[in-house]
Amino acid sequence: LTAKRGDQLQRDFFTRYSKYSKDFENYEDELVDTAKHVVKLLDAKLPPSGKFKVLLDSKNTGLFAHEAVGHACEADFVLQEGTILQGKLGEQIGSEHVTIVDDPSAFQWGSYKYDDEGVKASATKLIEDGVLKNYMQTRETSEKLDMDVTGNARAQNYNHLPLPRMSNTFFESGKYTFEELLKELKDGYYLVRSGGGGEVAVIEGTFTFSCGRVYEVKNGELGKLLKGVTFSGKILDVLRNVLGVEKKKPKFSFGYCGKNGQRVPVGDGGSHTLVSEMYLGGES
Amino acid sequence: LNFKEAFSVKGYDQMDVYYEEVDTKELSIDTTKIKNFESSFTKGFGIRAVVNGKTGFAFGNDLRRLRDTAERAVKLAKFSNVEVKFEKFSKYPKVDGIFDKKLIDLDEALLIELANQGLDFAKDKKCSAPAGGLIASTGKTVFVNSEGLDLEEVSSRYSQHLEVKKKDAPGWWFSDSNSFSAKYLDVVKGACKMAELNSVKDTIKTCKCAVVLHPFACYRMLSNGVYPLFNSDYVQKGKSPYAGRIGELIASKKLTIYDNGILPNGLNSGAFDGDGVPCQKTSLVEKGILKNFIYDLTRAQKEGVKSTGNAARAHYSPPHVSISNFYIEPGHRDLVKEMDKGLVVYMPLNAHSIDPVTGHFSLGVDVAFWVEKGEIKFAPKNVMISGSVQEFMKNIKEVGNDFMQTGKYAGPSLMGELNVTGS
Repeated sequence: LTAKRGDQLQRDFFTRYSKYSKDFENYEDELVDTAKHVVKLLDAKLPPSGKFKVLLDSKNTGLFAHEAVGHACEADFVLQEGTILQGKLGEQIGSEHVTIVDDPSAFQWGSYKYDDEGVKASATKLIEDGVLKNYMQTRETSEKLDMDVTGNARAQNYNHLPLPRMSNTFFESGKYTFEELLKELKDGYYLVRSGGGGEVAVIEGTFTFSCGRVYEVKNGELGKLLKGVTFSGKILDVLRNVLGVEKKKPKFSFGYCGKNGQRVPVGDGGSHTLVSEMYLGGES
Repeated sequence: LNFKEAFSVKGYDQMDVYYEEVDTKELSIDTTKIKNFESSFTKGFGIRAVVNGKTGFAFGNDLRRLRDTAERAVKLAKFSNVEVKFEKFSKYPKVDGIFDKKLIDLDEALLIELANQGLDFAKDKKCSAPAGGLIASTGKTVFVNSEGLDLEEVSSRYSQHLEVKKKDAPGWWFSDSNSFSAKYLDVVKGACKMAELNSVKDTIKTCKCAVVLHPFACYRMLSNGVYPLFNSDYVQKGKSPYAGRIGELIASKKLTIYDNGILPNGLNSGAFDGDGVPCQKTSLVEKGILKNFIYDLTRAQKEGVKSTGNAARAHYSPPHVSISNFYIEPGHRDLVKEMDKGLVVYMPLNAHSIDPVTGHFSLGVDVAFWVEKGEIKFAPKNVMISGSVQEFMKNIKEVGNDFMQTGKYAGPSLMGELNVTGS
């Protein structure tokens, strides 16, 4: 949706993919909500730029799980020595609140029964309580790394060779309520919805994402609506700086991942996640 | 291959067939070794049928089902709201440098030799090479319509790229052209040099400073933030801030921009577009003044103007309006050498998050260097650049004397001012 007033233009959007028809039942509500917000965002200010404590919603938690952690756990990058998670198996790389799983057998957008090399799909714990546990493998990478296959070989179609790819990648639920996390955040920003995805440099371990809306949080209370913004950080710093995850079951959002020019459907998810430090690229 | 057979189906007023085939050979490099060769041949056709002014579309790969596909397009027309009237043209430009016959059946042994030479050079420079490749492709496009157009064109593409790593510092380079080049070594040298420069790290303070966008960065930022502003589809939907401003100063006076669909050796040049309209050179901005937007037939007829030959089309989708070669006239100065203090950006991250409607962006940076007195000093850590692309276009201080084609960008480095967030 695009709103215009005078010379001011503002855009907001939502997308939805699902295997369940019930996920489209409140489609109109979201449309109306987006319309209301695109108008409100016309007048909204940008958040400041700098380092802040932030609370990520499920969308941005899922984005972090997929883009920042998931890609760094793909075994082809490990073999290319092209990921910061190479050589760190068994190490405590994140806080105890971080458990990240890739599960093609969960019935979500990135699901399948067998991967594209005929390996049965099953859940793979990538990080458990902050410890790096596994990478996502094809038959080729598992042979070279002398590890088990994980059922993550995927190709876009017959035209392509299978690569290690994600399926449904998510942060497992933690032990806090949303209110507890807000209270713990105290003063900072609540980053909501997508602003159009993100990009990661897995060699250096840096990421840049954008969110669609931001709320100021003061003294543990939700405040003013601000425009969406780019946020960035170092993957390992953020993993260490996770202060807590909401106990609600992970909410998935659905999309496509385009690694090496091959488009495959993926799901990513999580619930609210509190991070002690994140760079916001707002108003200087 | 008689595509006109499609026209023998009944129940339509006008019809066109767009056919394409591509033959590709790709050598991949993986973990400092040649990994494998992949080869593919793909083909397909798309058919548009106009019935009572409405356009139906269907596509397929199986040429034996050409007529079935045409019938589907006719049947689907009544559900569509796309209105277009096909036209006939008699004169087409001759475009040089878009096909190199050396790329047909290129010898695998030659590509292997070039790749090995490159990998040896990287090794000498103490760089590992996680990924890279050499890709050769040739293709043919055929366009026929019921108005009597019968067009055919061949084209080719040769791409080479390499990512390297020196300790933890990454570097990469790539080059794209329509003709074969035995200079893979230049790409490798570019990547190794970038890794070397990248290994000297330091921090900078947050500031507003001079920024040079290398053509690699222009390609990524302008394609998301600027090309759409000239697109008549955006303009007609009220999404372009340039709408209704032809004749106004919208950019720096240093900027002259063309959409040049007939640029010799242009990566996206050709004689005709996806509507069968002759390609042309269209002035978009002349010394900062907005001159024109780009059109395909559908959008042009809506406004009662002439198509600019910008219907981009693949066999599996109906045409849409798209830039061909976004050509910016180069200047006479070496921007980095003349820079007193500032940042030169090669690779911004997340450039697809730039919102063309507002133009606002704040991007992380994968590769950028801090320059003092014309010399690259170091790669600053954790920098972000922010501002508005529309403002940047207005405030361009100088265009460079370099020139590079990458994607749809065909132009020099650009210098302006941006907010740079440091550590």
